[in-house]
Amino acid sequence: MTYALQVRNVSHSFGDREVLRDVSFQAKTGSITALLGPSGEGKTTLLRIIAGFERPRQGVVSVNDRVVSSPDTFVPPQHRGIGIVTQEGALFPHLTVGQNIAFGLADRRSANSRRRVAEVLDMVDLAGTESHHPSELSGGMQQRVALARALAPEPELVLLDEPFSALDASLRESVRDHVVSVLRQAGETVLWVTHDQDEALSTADDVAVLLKGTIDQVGPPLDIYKHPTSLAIATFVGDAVVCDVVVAANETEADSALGILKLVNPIRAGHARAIIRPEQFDVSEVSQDGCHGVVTQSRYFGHDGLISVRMATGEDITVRLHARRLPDVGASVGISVHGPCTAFTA
Amino acid sequence: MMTTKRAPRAQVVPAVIVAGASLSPIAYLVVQSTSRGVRPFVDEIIQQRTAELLTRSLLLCASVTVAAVIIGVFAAWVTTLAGLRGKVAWTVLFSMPLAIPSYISAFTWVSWMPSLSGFAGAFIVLTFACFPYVMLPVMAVFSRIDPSHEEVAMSLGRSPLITFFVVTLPQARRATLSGALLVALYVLGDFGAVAVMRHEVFTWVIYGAYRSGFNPTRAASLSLVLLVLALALTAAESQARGKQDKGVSPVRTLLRSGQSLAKVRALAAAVSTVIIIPSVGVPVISVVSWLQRESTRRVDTSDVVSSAMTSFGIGVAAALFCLLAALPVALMSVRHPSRLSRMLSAATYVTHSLPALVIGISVVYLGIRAVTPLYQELPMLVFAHVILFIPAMVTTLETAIEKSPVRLEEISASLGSSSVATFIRVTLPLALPGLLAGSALTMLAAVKELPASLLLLPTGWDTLSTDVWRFAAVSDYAAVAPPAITIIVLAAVPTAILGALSSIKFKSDS
Repeated sequence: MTYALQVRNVSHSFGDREVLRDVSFQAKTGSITALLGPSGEGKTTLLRIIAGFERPRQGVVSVNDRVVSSPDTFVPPQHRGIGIVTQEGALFPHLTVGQNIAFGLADRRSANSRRRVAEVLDMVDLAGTESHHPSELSGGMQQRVALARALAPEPELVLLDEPFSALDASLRESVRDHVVSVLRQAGETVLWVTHDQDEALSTADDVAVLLKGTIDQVGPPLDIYKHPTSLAIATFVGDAVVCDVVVAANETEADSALGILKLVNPIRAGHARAIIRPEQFDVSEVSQDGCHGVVTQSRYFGHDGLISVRMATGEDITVRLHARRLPDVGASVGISVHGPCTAFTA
Repeated sequence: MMTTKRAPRAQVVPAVIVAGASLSPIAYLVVQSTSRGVRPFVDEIIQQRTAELLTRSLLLCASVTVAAVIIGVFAAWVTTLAGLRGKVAWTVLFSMPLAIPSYISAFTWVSWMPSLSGFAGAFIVLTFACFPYVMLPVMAVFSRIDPSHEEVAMSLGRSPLITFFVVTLPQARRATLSGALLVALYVLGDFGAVAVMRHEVFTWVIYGAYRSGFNPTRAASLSLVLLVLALALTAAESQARGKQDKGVSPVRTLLRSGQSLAKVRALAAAVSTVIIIPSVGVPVISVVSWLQRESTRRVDTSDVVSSAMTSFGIGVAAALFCLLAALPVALMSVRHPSRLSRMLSAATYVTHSLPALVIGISVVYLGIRAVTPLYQELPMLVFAHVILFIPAMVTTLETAIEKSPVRLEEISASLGSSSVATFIRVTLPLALPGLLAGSALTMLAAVKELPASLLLLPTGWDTLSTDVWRFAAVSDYAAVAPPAITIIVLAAVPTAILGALSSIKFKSDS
């Protein structure tokens, strides 16, 4: 396994405000890694450090095993070979589409260069728009031109900074799918900053979760979702019911208001907090020995639905159900939990 | 996200040299005013007549600034947001006062109303000469304002008028302030209008001190007081500027359906006409009527042509060198804001408040002492003009450079362009309209400029402005007409282009 991007122990601050704290992670060559985190917690700063727009206070950044930033090396952005697509596209307003894309090519007037421009425009399905002015294009088209511009010089790494968040929802998904397929076909290594977890979980090969200025977990989306390494990651990625439990002496089971829960990984006996995903709940007729509660709210999404249940013990939980089986508000239901849960020592 | 990177040495070194050169006349002032010791200098200043002089000067300065801001903001609104037809034509008309030097318009007012003099005369002439300095920067902001803010305000129940004052105008605060500062400094340093109106403010008194018995100590001491006033103004402005958010550029092209009510538009057109009559109508009609008087006499056109060529050549040289000198200062203050960049920017600003007359004399002194071979040669006049006009150029360039967001420069770097290549390929083309506007303004100012030309023009040479002064001083208006009208026409061309450029929005995003 080779890594096109390696970030080791990077810290950065603006004045006294520390924005990145000892960040380390790597991105596999040819893969799409999502950098997922809430707004304002350092994602964009990390991206700017990798691009070379900021010099970190500490740490090392390497691209294809070449150190581009360290306490004693700093390769300026123009010599890094890293393409970037920003939220607004940032096309040069005084240049045509063709000139924008040719911007990073060595000999811009050569036939080779013209061929490359046509080639990448074709990749993003905008063949023949060379002479258009950026202002004549829709937002989605501008983003595709920005991608073509970043890809044209064959970068070693492509950075996407929330590239679709300025687009409206209807356009967003189709532009995103298109961009992802272009990037996959080109075999690019991509680091993709986003705060949209659905986007990250559904499109990335790996997800790096950046919380409070540091990355605690990197891995395939399913891993992050199923085996979060901290309570903070568990509740940030995906919906979750957090419940207080007491872990039994065997360290693989825990007692909770929802009955006995199996644990994914054994943890120390005693008080702990367990994560239950909405789809792990099952709803049944009220029975004598099981847990039960009253449905207080029901939200219907077409394919499935979410109901809120107030348990007899006073806790509120959210349950994901197939649309056919949604109970009415006010109904009493029995609740059971399927599959093992992840728990963290309290 | 704005981060402050240290400015590259290629910017710092030239910027420091430029700021130093700009300050050299002040060094002369300090040396001159204290040449007989500190005591005579203090005695010269602590006098009843200095206090009166100060009051008169500040009163004129404040009244003209307030009036020019009101007219300038109104004119900016008319030419951008009011939805009037013929925006370009209105802008060109409103810009025209820039083509008419204050001494020419003052002469035209006096020739119409011989009783007009003192404060009233100076106030009228200067207000109608200065308001474009407020209008142009405010227009630039108005034409880029996101209409959704106004729409939100109106949806929250604010009337269009209140919306203008609480939503639109505050976004142009920085532009208004910087325009107002230009006006205030222009008034403090203006020589022509107050000399013609015989209003005893600093410049005219200083001029008198030089002429009557050549009293360099008093003149230099008063110039220092004037300098302190300008410094206070500059400090106030940079304080206000520091608090404001800058460089926000909407990416999408803004479409403004903005059709205001017919009643509002009619009123706007009427008020605009009322502004244009005194600011453009009076001077132009007067000068043309003088020209008709002239046509009954024999004219020697070759004199006018040779004066015009001299003025034009000096103007082009001044604009070119001014641009080169202002660029590092403006780049630093926009891209690498720091205490040093603010100091350098303020240093170049300071000279604007010094009367051209004082700069002229200090450059004469410099020629005698420091660069003897150039004494009484044209380069010294060009140097004086560069020092004089660099503040306006820096302001214009700062605004122009802000047109190119840092983000675009970063993208350019990520695509392999060095910082020099990025400047040439991205920053420069985006800043070009502002850059051309700044150069046109400077050339125009050099052609119009009078006192420094009077002092530094080599013997045997004439410019259009010195011709006007020479003939008007003896009330020979018929002889004034050809050079005056040439100045106005010559200056009207770049002014019209400037006005049209400001009006026709930069077509693409940014």
